[in-house]
Amino acid sequence: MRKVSSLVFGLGVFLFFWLVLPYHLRFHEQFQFFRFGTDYFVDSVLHPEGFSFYLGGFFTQFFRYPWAGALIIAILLVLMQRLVAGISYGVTGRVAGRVAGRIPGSAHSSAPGIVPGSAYDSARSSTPGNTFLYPLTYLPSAFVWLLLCNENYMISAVVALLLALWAVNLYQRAGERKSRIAVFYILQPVLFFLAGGTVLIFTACFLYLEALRIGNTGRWKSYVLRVLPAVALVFLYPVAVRLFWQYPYEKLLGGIHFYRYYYFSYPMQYIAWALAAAVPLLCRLIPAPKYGRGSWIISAVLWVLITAGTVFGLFRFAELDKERLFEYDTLVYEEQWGQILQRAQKDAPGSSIEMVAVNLALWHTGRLETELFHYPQQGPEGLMLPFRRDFVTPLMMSQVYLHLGMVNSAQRNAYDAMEAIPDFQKSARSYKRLAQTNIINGHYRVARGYLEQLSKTLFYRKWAQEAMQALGNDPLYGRIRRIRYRDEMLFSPQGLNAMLDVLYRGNRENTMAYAYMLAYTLLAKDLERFADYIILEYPAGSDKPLPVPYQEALVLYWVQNNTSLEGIPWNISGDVRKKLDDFTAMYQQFAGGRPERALKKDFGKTYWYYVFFTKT
Amino acid sequence: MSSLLKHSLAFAALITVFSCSHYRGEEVIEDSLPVIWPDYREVTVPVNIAPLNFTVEQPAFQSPEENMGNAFSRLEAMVEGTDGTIIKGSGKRVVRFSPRRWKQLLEKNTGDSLRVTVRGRNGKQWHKYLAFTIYVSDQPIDHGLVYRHIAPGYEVYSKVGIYQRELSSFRTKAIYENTLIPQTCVNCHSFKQGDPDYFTLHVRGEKGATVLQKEGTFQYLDSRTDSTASAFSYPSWHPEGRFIAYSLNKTYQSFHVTAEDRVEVYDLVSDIVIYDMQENCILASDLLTTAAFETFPKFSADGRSLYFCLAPEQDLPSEYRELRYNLCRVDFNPLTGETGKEIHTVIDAVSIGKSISQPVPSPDGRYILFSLLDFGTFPVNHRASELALLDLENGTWCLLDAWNSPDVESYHSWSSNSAWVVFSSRRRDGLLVLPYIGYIDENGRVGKPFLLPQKDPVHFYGTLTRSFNCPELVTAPVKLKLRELERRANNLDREPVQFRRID
Repeated sequence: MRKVSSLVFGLGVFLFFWLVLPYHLRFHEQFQFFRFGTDYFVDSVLHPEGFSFYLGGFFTQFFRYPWAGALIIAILLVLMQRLVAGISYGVTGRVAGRVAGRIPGSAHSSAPGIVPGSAYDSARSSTPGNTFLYPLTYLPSAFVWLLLCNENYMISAVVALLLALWAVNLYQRAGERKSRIAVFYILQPVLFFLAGGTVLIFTACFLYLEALRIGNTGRWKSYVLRVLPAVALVFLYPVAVRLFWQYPYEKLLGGIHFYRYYYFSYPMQYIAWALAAAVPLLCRLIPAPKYGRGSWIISAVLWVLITAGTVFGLFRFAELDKERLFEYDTLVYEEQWGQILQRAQKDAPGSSIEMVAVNLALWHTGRLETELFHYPQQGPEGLMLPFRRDFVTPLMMSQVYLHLGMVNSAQRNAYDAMEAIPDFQKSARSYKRLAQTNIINGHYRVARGYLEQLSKTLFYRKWAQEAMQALGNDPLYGRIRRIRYRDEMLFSPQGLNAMLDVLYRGNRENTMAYAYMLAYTLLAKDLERFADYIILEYPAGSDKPLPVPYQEALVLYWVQNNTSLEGIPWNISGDVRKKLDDFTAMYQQFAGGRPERALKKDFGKTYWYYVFFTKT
Repeated sequence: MSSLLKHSLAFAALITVFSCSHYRGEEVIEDSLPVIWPDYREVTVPVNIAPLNFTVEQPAFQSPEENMGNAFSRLEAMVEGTDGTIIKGSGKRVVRFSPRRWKQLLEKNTGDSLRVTVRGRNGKQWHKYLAFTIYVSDQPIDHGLVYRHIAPGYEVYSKVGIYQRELSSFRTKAIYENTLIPQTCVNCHSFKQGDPDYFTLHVRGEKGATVLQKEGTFQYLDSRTDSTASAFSYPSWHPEGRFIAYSLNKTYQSFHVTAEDRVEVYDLVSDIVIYDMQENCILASDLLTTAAFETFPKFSADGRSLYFCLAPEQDLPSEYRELRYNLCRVDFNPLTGETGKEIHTVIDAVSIGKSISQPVPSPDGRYILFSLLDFGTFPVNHRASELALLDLENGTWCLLDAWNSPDVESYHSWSSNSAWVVFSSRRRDGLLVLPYIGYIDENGRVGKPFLLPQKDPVHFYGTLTRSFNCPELVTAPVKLKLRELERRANNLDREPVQFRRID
């Protein structure tokens, strides 16, 4: 039954992360940079919490494949539950209502507590105690499951929790009192160095497990002498560590690598710690009901409550908006342009950064010029986002810049995105981009540095080794070299359009720069500039077919200074002309009310609709 | 039976002897110098420098574009002093010398030279190269090197710290890391002629301020005032320790679009003020707080002059290629803290289409070392930046070709005996700034510089992701009152400064 429940729980965790939040896992993976080799191992573990960090990174690398990441999380959480159960039921101690090792209702069930040093003191209980409370052992794992819905709660925190619980289990099995105490005092500092503040869990368990052993014996003085140093030490370890490493005291106890934002605290995680420490105690303290059936009912209620609470919590904590953003980001990274557009059609993009992904996908599928306004554009920021000091947006923009041929900008965004990772870690994704930009720019030595590091990873190794062999001979790099800036100038964040203009005029092969330049002016509603640029490829009188959105923009531009379309120097189709008439008529019809709603159905995908009704 | 035993033993001995001979392999004598990295061939080193551990690249891998592939399975080096002392170093990937023996060797050969013979094993064959020389100066270098470790990024920084490295060993210790006070950055560490008892440092960020440590006292100064353009920036201690010249800079960055350079840093405003520690007061002169750009102040060795860089106002960033600084000087009164009334142009770099940055007088007062660029300030971002030396005795200056490379040479610091300079260079890969140490004699002649030695330079520099920024030589270990800094920063306990115009 217990194995079945663990299996069901694990399956639930696996399916949730694989099917509901797979891109959260991808998000984790790209902001870590685990490498094999003794150098990285030594550099990682020779720091407080370093071992948890190292193991957390090891697991996180597999999140590149969400099914693998989901499986790892499921295993870790099941392991956590089993460890909590092991602490709750695996050791001899005074259990409320009965003495461990004796069967409830037997002649000895009201016998006094265990005599220290006796066989019962050291013998492992062979009967589970208070089994009706077994569902409680899922509480810590279930809560950590909820915490993991936050993409900034790190796997190293889970590893640290597991290490603490494992330490408790080890201590429990240590046998006689003296060896048990010795094991604790050896493990405590080691655990602090390996897993940081989760040593508090270990210490808390030690306090009450030893107290339970005392029971009614009255040997409280020896208890205090036994446990007081443990309490003092746990608060002294950070003081000692600060002699060698520079971390705030509260970080050393509260977790250095447990939450991605190093400079913020994440108090919710301490609830998981409290649960991990408290559940085994509750399992022992809460007395069994007098009637056997009462246990069964309580147990069932607990199962229902914990399950319902977990499900409710998942609904509450799983941020599907962020999942969508991460999905777009991952699809851009993997250049799955068709999938991006399918996603956008299923569920309209909600933010500028998502629109950047959609517009990039439109370009790559040859549809930017024709279908720009088939998607809910929000202004030029949906095409080219200004620089933001976070670790997500610049990575997306790095992709845009690279394909545009703005190599230095691609490099800068990738580098600064990595530097913005708030827990000071490196990013394999950024390293890959930096290797590419340096290869394109001919900085081979720098590129090699990045590639050498990538070749120490599991999933980037092949790419890095191939890149080192080719070094500059990739056709993609050749194309980008041809279309990048030729003349020196400074990047102007206020003049992105002008920058695209210079880029395009420097190399007419850079059709993406041209398309983006036009799109930028359209999104900015700058029709004057649009008219200036359009003639570069579509001169007046040319027979070259104009994409419909361009025609729509040109007619709008024309009618601002002319009473009719007569004399318009571009080839405007009959359909567009008629549509303009219809739009104008309907707009006038509803002008006093809400024309936006009325016009959306027939004209929602036109440039006119964007101009009149989209706030930018 | 005993005869059989004897024969068996003899046979076993023969096998052993032949096995050893076979194991040694043949030795191929190469008629070239070994290509070692870091390149310590023909360098001049101080007597108290840490061992110069190095690796060897096989000739086939000498192309700069190739990886530092070391195909040798074992490396050995023999270092012989002119006194006959020999030490050996070896390793699989890196030749490592015993620090103790290295130290003894150098001490016995001070003022003389060492002959280094290197060989590497490839399979069963040893390749022995021509010997090269290392010169041991009788001039010691200072105790340590203090530098900032920061990634060569753009607008965002991650982990930043100030570290000190003991130059006679490989021991490195953090002075301050921004993990201690989150969301802070640090810069502009500076010492009075290398004396760590006189230490200033800026902590930037919401909890930031200027740290001033002088002879055991600690101050955390909020240097912003209503009358000044910014908080303190580039510092220079007066030799007597009462005054510190600071520039006040509103610094901005723009980014290049082509591959040659990455970042362009410029000041929209820069002035120079004098901070009087005794009075806790900023002294501002009209001469040095104009609309022109005054920056990089440095006191002369005798404390009677203040050197600085001066550029006419420009429309920036559009005119960034026209921005050029001259090296100038103004008198300084060490009793009152007042500067003179006239600016003297020491080097008119503008007239030759150049720009001067980061002038640093030698402690003996004989020279000024500076960076020469084609335009702009902040030489670390200009590939064309080179080191030049001004002789204050005769007023002539020249480029230090032996120290310059096709890439950036910039920030520099003199040792207290004026015999050594540590400077920053991007020569290795064009990205990371690394510290090089060069010898300079009393006549201004310089020796081939060498990269700061590491226990395993291949691993250290191969995995390095942060630059050595602003290397400064110090005469003793730096002891920053870290707990005091942490407490003051977290409590925002900052002392305001006064302001006074001195014209």
